[in-house]
Amino acid sequence: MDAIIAIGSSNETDGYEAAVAAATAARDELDQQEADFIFVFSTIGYEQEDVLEGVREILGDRPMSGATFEGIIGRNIADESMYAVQVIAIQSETIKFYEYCAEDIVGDALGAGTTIGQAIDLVNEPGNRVLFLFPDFRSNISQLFEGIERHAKLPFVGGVSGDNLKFQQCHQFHNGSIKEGACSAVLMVGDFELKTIVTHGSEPVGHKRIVTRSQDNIIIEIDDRPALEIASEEMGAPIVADNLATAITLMGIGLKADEATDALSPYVLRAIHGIDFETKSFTVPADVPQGTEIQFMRRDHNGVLMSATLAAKRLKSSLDEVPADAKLVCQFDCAGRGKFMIGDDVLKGAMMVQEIFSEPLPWMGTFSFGEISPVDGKNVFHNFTATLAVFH
Amino acid sequence: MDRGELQQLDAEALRVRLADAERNYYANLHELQEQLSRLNAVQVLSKLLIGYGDPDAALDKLVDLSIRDFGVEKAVVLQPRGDGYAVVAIKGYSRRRVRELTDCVVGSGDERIAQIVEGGASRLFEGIDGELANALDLSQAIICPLRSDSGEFYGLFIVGFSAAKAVLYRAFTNSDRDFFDMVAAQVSALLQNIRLRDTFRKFVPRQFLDRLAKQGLGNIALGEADSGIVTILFADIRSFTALSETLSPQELLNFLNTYFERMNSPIHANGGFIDKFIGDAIMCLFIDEDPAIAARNAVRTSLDMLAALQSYNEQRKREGSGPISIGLGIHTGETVIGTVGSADRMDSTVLGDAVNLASRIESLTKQYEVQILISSSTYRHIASDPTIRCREIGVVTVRGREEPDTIYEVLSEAPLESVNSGANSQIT
Repeated sequence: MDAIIAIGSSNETDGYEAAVAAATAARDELDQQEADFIFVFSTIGYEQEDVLEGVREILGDRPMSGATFEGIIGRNIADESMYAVQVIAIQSETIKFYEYCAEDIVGDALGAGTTIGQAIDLVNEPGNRVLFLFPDFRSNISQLFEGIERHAKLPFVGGVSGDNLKFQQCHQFHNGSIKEGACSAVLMVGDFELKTIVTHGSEPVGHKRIVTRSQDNIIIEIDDRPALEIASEEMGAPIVADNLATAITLMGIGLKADEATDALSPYVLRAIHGIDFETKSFTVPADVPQGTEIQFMRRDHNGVLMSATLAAKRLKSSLDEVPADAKLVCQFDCAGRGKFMIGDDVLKGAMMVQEIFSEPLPWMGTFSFGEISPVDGKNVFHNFTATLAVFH
Repeated sequence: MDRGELQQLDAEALRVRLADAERNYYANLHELQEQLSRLNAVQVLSKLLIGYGDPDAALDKLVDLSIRDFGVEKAVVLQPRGDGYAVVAIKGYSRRRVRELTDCVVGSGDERIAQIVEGGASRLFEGIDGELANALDLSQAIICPLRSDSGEFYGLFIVGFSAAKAVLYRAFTNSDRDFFDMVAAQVSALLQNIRLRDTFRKFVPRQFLDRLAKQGLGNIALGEADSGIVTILFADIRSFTALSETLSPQELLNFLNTYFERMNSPIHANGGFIDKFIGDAIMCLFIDEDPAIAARNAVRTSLDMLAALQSYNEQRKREGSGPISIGLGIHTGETVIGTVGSADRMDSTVLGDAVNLASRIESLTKQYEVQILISSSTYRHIASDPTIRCREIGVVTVRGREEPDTIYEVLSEAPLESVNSGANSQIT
């Protein structure tokens, strides 16, 4: 991979000043060259217009993509405050970027995916390909994937846009404009290689269950009983509005996978993204067909830290396959693995992974409401995981 | 119920209790994390504020910390202006809105605000409307007075959320109101200290405070002392007695204040401070870790004071008044800086032979018909400075001293031939 990857970040409370500081740090690493592409990851406390204004003032009116997330991850940084911004400026003679934005992914994820897939299908640029995806957390991600893959077969990486674990607001960035309910996407094409790793730290609880009634990504009944009742039983206490964030952070649903996505677990994890207390149903960010075998999954402080260690070890053991010229690491971690779960150890968890690289590599990433990373050649949407994409 | 069922029941009950405990653990963890974060931020605020001498900077820090660490979207400080309140510190708004709101006057005629300003306690507004809420884009707010113990009102500290972003924040409770009330009390204490200090400094030079109040203004004790090399400058108006006889008491006071004001600028500009006004005379001091710097600053001050005097005389001429002239004497030597007086009435001063010698040297300017004279110790510190020109006047023994000393005239223009008038003369 032949590219200059320049990354800056800031935690100033003023959006414009934070963006200017982060973009200036990135610009200073660009060696006076103009960025070919800019990623902007921001947290929800800012006036996002000010953030993009600050970035563009420093780096110019360049192609741009990004979103708001629960937090940002960088080299020696794991910041889940309301005020954190990361700016990644990339310049390369051998890599091209194509940015897309599919609106109304919340209402029609399949259509949004189709729009992106069709656009990608028109790109004839030779070379390897990867698609960065930053969809709104209210999206049905499996339908998004299906829409894209109908027209374009390529690996996906990225994180689901979110807020400060309130599950209320998020924004997507596309060339200086701020969207809501959209999916910002970037096709990267050219001379690079990609290696990805996924891990999670959850353990199954209770026994296996069957989804007996569902509609797309809404689970209405499990074992012929209201889904919320079953979730509350597995939680050990009624899930109500007051403990919703806690419940969502602690517990998810494991879907039995055809292929293991993690060496330790045969489950793909799904977080609960919304609960309808009236119908006693809950929503997950991907389709769960009726008849799906599930098992509720729990995690805790130690499990999260252990999985970070595991990710580091697995990465280290596979370093032989990653040439020494690795140029960029993208880390998309679940927001629930962050400070809410492990408190002050959040940076420790991030550093466990970063420290296995002998050289300080450019490091970009987010705490997101869902992680996107391929496993064994298949694009998989994850929850509760730590994912790494190493570009070389 | 057989033994197996009993064991199963116990296990189930334990599992529920364990799950319940775990759920509570994380719920409490989150709440405690927030409380700890706030507590840490308050401690940070306390430490930071101690170092703030500028109230504007302190208020900027307050609003910044509020949105960063206290879990609110917006934070504003208002201070009285006209019949309303001006925005003097603001965070959590778009850049455009900050520009619009800075120095904007809001809250005129707002009864809720008036009640708080007139002695009311901090209030939580679970739903707030009206002109103030619209201007500051608030749907929920806590408004706290910034007020001293004695009731002096400094302003209003407001935190809150907009309707658009309220979903991202936890709704305020009375506990939040009490917390922000505590923060406001801390900031009020700081503002009170800054005002006291600023008032104090009008009477006691900052450099004194720095040396004598190392433990804080409240801990200055009678008899505190510190010694060091100081350069002392005396300035005296020539023929002041005759001049004062031609003026009414009010005219005399006006004249002196105008003169002192004019002389004050060059003293401050060169790092000195006025220690005392003694009738028409000014005694000022220059203190630096490097005595040479202090001496150089004092000599430059004397030249700048003459330039300021020339400007003042031109103004007096335009007003039909005659010119005045002054003499300046400078000496560098060991002094004791300390507090004297009684427990009820304390003053700061410098003591030592060096002070007397500086005064005596100033009085020699009349005899030698020059404007600026310096002692040999001051001269030694500035001799190598090519920008300052001096000529030796002679060796004198001033009253009260046994050792003779060489004195020099400071020249504002190119150096003249060295002269030696009155060598070894005894001045009485």
